[in-house]
Amino acid sequence: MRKPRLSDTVTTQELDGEVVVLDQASSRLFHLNGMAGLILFHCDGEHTETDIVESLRQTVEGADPKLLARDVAETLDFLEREKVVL
Amino acid sequence: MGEETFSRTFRLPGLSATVLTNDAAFAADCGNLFFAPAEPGDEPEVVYKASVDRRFLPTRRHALSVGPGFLQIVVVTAFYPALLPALEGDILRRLLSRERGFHPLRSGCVAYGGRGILVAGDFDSGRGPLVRALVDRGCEYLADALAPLTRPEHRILPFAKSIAVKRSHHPLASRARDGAPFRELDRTAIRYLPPPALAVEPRPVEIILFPRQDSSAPPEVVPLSRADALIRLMENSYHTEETASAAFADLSAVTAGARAFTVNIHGMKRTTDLIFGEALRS
Repeated sequence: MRKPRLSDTVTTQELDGEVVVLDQASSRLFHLNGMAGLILFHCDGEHTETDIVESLRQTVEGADPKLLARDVAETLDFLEREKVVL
Repeated sequence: MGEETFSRTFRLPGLSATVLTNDAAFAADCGNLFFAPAEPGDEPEVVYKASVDRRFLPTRRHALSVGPGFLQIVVVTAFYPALLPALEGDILRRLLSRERGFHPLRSGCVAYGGRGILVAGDFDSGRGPLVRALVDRGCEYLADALAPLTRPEHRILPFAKSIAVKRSHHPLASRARDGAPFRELDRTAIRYLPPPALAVEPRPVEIILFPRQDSSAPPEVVPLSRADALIRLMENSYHTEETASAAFADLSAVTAGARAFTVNIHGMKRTTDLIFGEALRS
């Protein structure tokens, strides 16, 4: 089970619930919505993907667990592909 | 070509420069165009030597070469429209290549009621005309192309560069001063609004405008999320790979304390009416 963590080259800023990510290695900026930002902030190298889903299930009231698991997996896939998380 | 007996020395935030030239009119042009005049004790960091030969009217050829502590611009035409961009470009490159204690943005800036208003975007976004229009409607002119953001206060300093207005068509012309411009081919149609004083109090950024010009769409002023504004400001920030993280933090602080809007410019009067109605209302 993966335990994603933020890349060392990444800096984040939270603004009004959204998150902007700067990856200095690629000089790229990413604009994450609130949910993707929440997922990102769980990427500390300690939480597994399952932990993240469970944590969000408690945070996001009324969330469908299956949809939540799919959203977390897709978001982590994207962040890994873009090397924002390792 | 004659000896370089005329000179102008300019000051701008973080840099002073001298132009030496053999041509009195060219020296006067420089005085009308650029930056604040030098103050006693200012030592120029760079000297530009411009040799003008007015016998070769149609050639429009110039060369910019770098020597030890000296730049030489050789001009072989009376109408030298490419000279100012070369001079301005080199000054900006020098300014941006070193840490000056401020963060430079590709942005115009005006102030209204003490509030700083950034007008950020490319040269073809309508930034310059919008800055002129806002000044025409009572805003204070601070910068038209490069806005220095102080650290760590994140306030905008004035950038001392005059702006050109058409004498006969622009309402600002009545406030401009006579000059002998060389930026434009039509030397009779342009006047220059003097550059802002460097002593102006730095302004906090409260409004950020991102203009565009889409003539197929109506004029509009649309609020922008702070995250979107941060990304757009980063796109209009002069920084290197090494300073990107600091720029990111600086501009995050700016966007956190400001309201941001996209502006579609379609008819300057209607557009500025919207800006005053939507963005500048208290």
